[in-house]
Amino acid sequence: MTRNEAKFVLQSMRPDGSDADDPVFAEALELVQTDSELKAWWEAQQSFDREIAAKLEEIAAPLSLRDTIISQRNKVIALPQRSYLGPWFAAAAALVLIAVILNLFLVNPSSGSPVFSEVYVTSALGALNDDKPALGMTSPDHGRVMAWLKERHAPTGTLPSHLAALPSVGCQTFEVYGHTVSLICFTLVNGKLAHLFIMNQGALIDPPGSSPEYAEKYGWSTAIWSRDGKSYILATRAGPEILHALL
Amino acid sequence: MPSLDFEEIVSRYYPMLYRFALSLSRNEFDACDLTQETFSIWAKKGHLLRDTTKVKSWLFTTLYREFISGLRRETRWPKQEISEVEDELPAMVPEAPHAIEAAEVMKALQSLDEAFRAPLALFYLQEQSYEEIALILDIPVGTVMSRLSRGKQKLQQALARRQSREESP
Repeated sequence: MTRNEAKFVLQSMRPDGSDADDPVFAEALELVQTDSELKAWWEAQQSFDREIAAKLEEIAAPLSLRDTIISQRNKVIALPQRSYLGPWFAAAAALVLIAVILNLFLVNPSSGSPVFSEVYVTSALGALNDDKPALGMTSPDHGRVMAWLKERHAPTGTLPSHLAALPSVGCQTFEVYGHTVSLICFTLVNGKLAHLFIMNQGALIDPPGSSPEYAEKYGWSTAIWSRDGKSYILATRAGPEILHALL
Repeated sequence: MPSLDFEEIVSRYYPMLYRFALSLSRNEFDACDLTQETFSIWAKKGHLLRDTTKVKSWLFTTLYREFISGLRRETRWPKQEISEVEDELPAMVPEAPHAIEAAEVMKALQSLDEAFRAPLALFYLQEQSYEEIALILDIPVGTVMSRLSRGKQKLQQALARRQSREESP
């Protein structure tokens, strides 16, 4: 075995001594004892490896992750299929749908124009993609969902109390006439989903009032209202009774 | 391991799985998702594992496969053997990064090409031998060794670049 061959082999030996008895390293370790240059290199390499391993050991997993994993196990949650590219293809499809819907509702639209509430609702429902919304991130932790949205300067608003008690599935943002809309999805106790859209109230020509207005549209039970400068849409396929119970 | 209690398994392995996921996905949101998804699969399929001593390897393998299937990579990783990397083996003694923060080490690791990132992360977690890393990543043992060898040099270079940036006025 040459010095370089020994170096090559020894770089696979863990610095905590777990591999000390592995015969693959025996010959290289023997060479270390007789080759001073190799020995110096090996000691420095082990020191480097120990330092890197110790640094990575310092990286703490989020405190809430363990509890989230354990709590998720006991819930029947219709999580959307998570993939790294999939959501973006789905998002592209949803955006095409939104564009088609907008063209149906508005003539000569221009970016940044105030949006009719009806267009906001219809665009939002289009984004739900038959109850399989494309999500930018998934998490049952509301704090992380809100942080993700804030990082993207998307509206967050205030969650209705009944909704705030439900675990989130995840969130997404999209644009309607240059106005950012936030989408947060929640899991209901029956395993179905509820979707909350949030938009700045000032982006709407005819924002809804503070009392929720309920409607049935395209198979969705919807409620729309405004509060503290934000306009909200809540939509679910779970039926109007459950929707009412959420607000 | 006498029993396979779900909570016990989560408590024991989620920190190391999270670190591995963080090195792969490069952001904490996706790392949490990957870790959660791994345990979700364990909750559904873990009972099929006959050898209960393999739980840790099963979890790491599952997480890695989830990452890869999500990524849908089309390019194949290059394979190198010692003959290809021999000239690059370091003659100089690497310096230990005492002054560098843990987050900086993670960033340096995350900056590496994926072919080196996964084996290096598993190596430095120190939970798996090179043979087990080969099984998890589904690559030959020789390829693991060459990626560790070359990957460490790249990591040292990445750390040196980060340090020099910090030291420059």
